[in-house]
Amino acid sequence: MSGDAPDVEARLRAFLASQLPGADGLEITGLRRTSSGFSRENWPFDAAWQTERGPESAELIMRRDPIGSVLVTDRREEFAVLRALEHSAVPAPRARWIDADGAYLERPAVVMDRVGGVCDWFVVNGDRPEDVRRAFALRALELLVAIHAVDWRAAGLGPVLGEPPPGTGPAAAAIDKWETELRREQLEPFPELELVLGWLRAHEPVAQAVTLVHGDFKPGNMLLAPGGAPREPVEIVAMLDWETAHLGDPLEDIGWITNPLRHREHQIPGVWERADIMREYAELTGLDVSDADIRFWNVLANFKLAVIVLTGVRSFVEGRGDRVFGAPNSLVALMFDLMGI
Amino acid sequence: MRPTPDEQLRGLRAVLETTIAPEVTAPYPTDLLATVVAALERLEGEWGTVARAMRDESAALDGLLADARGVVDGAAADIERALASAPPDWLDRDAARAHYETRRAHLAAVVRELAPDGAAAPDLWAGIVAHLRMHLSGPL
Repeated sequence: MSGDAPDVEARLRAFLASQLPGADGLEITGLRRTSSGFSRENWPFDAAWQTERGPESAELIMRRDPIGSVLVTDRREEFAVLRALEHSAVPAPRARWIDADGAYLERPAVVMDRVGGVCDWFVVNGDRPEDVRRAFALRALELLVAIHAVDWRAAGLGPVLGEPPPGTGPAAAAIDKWETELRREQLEPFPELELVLGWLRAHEPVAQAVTLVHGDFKPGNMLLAPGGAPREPVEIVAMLDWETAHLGDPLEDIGWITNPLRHREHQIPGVWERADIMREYAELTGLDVSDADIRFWNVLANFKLAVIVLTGVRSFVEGRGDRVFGAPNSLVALMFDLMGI
Repeated sequence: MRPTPDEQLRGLRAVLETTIAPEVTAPYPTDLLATVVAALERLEGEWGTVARAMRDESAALDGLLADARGVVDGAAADIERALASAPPDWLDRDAARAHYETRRAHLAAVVRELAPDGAAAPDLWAGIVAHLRMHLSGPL
């Protein structure tokens, strides 16, 4: 057990007791903080308890807001999205309980089922044969299409996540959100980002649909079936990390996965590149996927990352965060490249 | 002055890498320690260049802001005041940073006014973009 785990265990015990009325003999084992996740604390653990029906147990994970994060998101939204996905074709962990205001767990937290599987950020460029990796990349894209096909209205996500206006509304809403974050977090003037903001405002694309957008779609946020021979298909067991999920333009996710910064996570040189992703997505969805629109979302993706870095800078400077960040200059240089200046 | 700041940074990093790191086994502290070591390494290379870079970039910003005075409306008076102010003591780090950041803030206002493409002042815009590109490859 490491760091503040004893305190966390006591808090967790009280929280679970509040969520399991009538349960006796609650036991928590294996609680530890993992190194994964920049924005939330991840605490896997096992729990066992007795009910009138007999013994019960669960493999769980608690995701808690850290004291200082690189990303300010709402656990209630994450919880609502996970609940909505239970009735969809998208594999995701089952959300069990939420401590929305941190009354028990000190800070807002969600407890969900811990799904078995392995994480491989660079699976599309790993050791498996090229055809297996390409098939995985296509399967991942199909998963993204399934996310975009979630009936968010029927699932009641409109009031929770906020529905942007049609047309250029989703793009404008995305710029507004990240500009607001920038204004709140920046510690110094950043004329480079002012220039990017002006460009984004002048190039807002018209959304062809408003869908559920994951916001951080990548193999690093997937759990894959462990084992298997190199030639066997790679199965996606669960899609994780829904904290930036929102309603918006589905091409935002395509801009995220075609971001040149992250090509090693999403693209196979000569086999599965930017143009292939755009063409396949267009074929799977019937949407127009233009270069101009994707370029806008590429720039927005890097703007968002730059703001996340600046949030980390403030958090560190104010003594709330424990990770050291430098200025996001390389991200801004990439944005200038994409903007053609 | 020995050890110099460079020598201290290098020595501290060596202590963390050779003495502390092997004793740290929990995943989160191990990951965090690696980021601290990387940050110290970055500091070794950059901290000594910051004061000079701030002075040089402030001078370049003054040139751009002088050109911008006649083009922008909203920020012109503030720019005029900033350009009339005396340069700081560059050995006073707080004063130097304030001087530099004031100029960066004025340039940000100019960019907002000329956005998205600087069509109202193409030459000035090209100079601003070139300056911002230069900034992105420097230590500040």
